[in-house]
Amino acid sequence: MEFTFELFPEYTLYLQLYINLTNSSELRANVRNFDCAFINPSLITSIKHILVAANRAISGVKTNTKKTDSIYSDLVYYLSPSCNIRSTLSQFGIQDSSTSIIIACFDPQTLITMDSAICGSKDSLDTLASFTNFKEIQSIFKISDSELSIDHSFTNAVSSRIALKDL
Amino acid sequence: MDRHLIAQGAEGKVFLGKLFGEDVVIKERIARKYRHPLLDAKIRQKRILQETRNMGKARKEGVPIPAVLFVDAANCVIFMEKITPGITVKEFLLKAQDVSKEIMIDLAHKIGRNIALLHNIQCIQGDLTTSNMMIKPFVSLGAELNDSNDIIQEILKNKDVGTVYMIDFGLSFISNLPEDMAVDLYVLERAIGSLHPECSSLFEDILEGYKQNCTKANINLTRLSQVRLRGRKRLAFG
Repeated sequence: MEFTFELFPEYTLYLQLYINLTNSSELRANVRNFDCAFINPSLITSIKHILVAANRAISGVKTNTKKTDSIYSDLVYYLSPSCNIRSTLSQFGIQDSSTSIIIACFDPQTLITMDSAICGSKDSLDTLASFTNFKEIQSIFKISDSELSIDHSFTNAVSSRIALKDL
Repeated sequence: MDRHLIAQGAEGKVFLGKLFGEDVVIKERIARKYRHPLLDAKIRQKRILQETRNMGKARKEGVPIPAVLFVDAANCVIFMEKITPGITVKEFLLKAQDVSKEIMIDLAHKIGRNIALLHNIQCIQGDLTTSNMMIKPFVSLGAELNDSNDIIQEILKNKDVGTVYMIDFGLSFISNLPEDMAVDLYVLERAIGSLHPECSSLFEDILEGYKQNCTKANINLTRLSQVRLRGRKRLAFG
């Protein structure tokens, strides 16, 4: 699936979900060699969550305020509420035990390269909600029940935190 | 990017636009040409950060506040969720006819609760007026709300106002002084008195909701009665 950004029309984000992953430890070891972001789907509330983070990552590149060394690690960094880069990348990125993963990249060519590197099967992003662990998201993002009662939207609570993260 | 202006104030412009394919409200602080450009950029940036921080802080406490989607600190622009369907409390009070007592009390209690929760975290909204609050009604299945009259009818039908959102934190600040909280309430009282003189008991009902939720209600309300006697500005001594 591809997504465009109103604020940065020159960027297009391509997302692909893989399930039944078998070579996650191999991918994790080579994470730096791939031109894409690996995202742990269990901590993603919705596609909008990724878009909000991607938007911030692009804006960081544009204004020269990147937090990490690449736009993709920035993307993963901005998925999380924590300012600890190392723990964020392992929590929201790929782990040795990952069995499902979302690939995010700004170049359609990378999707083809990744397809041969990944041992797993493609799945539609519409099934994203079935991977989401809302209990864990609530504790990681420290979302109170009273905040959820506003509009019952995890995505809104999460995007508020990402948008305000280290400003 | 196409956006259209919906409001302009002294320090900012508010647009409707699109972000991630959804309708969003875009709030931009405009440059003031009479200030030195360096100073101007610093002031605008500081204020926009203060505004968004207070919004985030208040939202965490459960005060209904539109979600912030992106802050462009370099250009002083905030992108936030659009409250839809929504109507300002001001428009509701001016346009709606035959509002039952029940709905008015529900509305007042929700406003009072919101202010109390803000004050509990020492957040002073700074500009409490009925146009800085929005009602998002519960929408019954299949209902189509095209304009404000439809929204008003829906609210009257539901016998419940739904969620009352607080918007515009442009003047908000953090303070734990009873004086600031009392002035905050006083500004609202004056605003209601001049805009909606027929809603005489509205402010009392708001205070009722405030008392139930604010931890320091007593101190703040005592202070409010002092502020009423002298007005918003404190007498300058010395």
